[in-house]
Amino acid sequence: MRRCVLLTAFALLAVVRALTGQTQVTAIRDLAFGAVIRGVQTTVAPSDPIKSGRLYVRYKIGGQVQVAFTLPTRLNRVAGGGNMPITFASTDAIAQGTAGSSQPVTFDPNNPITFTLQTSADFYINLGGRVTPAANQATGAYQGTVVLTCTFF
Amino acid sequence: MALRRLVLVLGLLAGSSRVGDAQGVVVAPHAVYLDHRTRSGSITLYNPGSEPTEVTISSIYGYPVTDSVGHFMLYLPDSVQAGMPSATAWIDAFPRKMTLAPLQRQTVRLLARPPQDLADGEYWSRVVISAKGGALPVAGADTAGIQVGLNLEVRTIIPLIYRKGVLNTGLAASGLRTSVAGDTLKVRPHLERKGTAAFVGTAKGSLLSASGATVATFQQPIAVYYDADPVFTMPLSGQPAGHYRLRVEYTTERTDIQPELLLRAPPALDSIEVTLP
Repeated sequence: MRRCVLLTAFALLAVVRALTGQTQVTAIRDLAFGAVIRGVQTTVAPSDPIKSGRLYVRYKIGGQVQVAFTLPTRLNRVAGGGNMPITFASTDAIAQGTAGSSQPVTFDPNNPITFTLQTSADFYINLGGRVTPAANQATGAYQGTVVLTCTFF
Repeated sequence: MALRRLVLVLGLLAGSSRVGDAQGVVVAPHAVYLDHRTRSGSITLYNPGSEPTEVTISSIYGYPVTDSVGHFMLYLPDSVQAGMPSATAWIDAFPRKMTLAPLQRQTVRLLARPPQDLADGEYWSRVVISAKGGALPVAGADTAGIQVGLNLEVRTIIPLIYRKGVLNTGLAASGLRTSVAGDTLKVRPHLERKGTAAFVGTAKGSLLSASGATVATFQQPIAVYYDADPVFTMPLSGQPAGHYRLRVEYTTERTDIQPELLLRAPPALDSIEVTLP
């Protein structure tokens, strides 16, 4: 029994070791506007700790990562029969490394950007945006998809 | 007691890259190398989150170039023309689609089926690993109001290199220039690949004082497929004004790629006088 546990433990260690030289791109939190009001523009700031979208990227110190968002211009009503415009401004994305000395970098999510990882091997990206419901916007749920593509050099 | 401690440590190691309710994948290695003898390779995927993740594997043809400010970006031609060293059409992944349960690992095999008359050379592709989780649950929200949410999907793109025959690489460095921005020295060379394969290695810069002492350094991995004008940054951290010499060396060394996969070449050197204000 004891030998079996040890073998399992060493096998697990071997798997962990096999994942060295890894990259990671993970969606931590979706961009959630929640309830919005007809005719009133609603903005989620990238610094919003609850509603902003949040992603995590890991590579290596000195490595370069090209970050490119594919952003929707309209959100579709889940039940069909309508949509809602959505926009992303030039300051709607913030990247910040995990090192204590890392400084946040505000960037335009509409354009690709390449980061060189200097102080930490990983960083977070926060994404904000704004929706503009029409005065006669149909009630219901509206949904869209944001794609983050990370190219590792 | 010791056994329990060992298992606990291993458990922590295995969970070290876990990130809350995250949806995405860990991908290893950083780059995939295949050769004409074995014609196969693999990547390992791992779901560090607590929710299932749908993963799709695809490939595209592209290679790194530098933009006007020296950042690397992926160049993706509109179409693959004859003569382009693309491996994309004849690389298959097994499986191509999968759902990874929380904390599940999956090996994806990459098999090459090159044309019979493939000439010696290096062929390139990019492996695209797309991951998405479940939809944001706005559909069940109060239908008397308006609820808005966006799902996030992530894609990871890593290089794939296929080699046939005896290949060689090299680098010619020229046109070294610098500029000072705040407390940083920006270094920009012109790099031109030589030989029959991409130059994959590391740029190492040293700033030497008048007495020959090294006062600042930088080190950055590079991959030059044709040519590039990258920017390197060197922290000056309060160096006094004066005259210095900047030396930049390009070697075929990389700590993140197995040594036997790297093509070796003599180091390329360049240097320039630098005056700090």
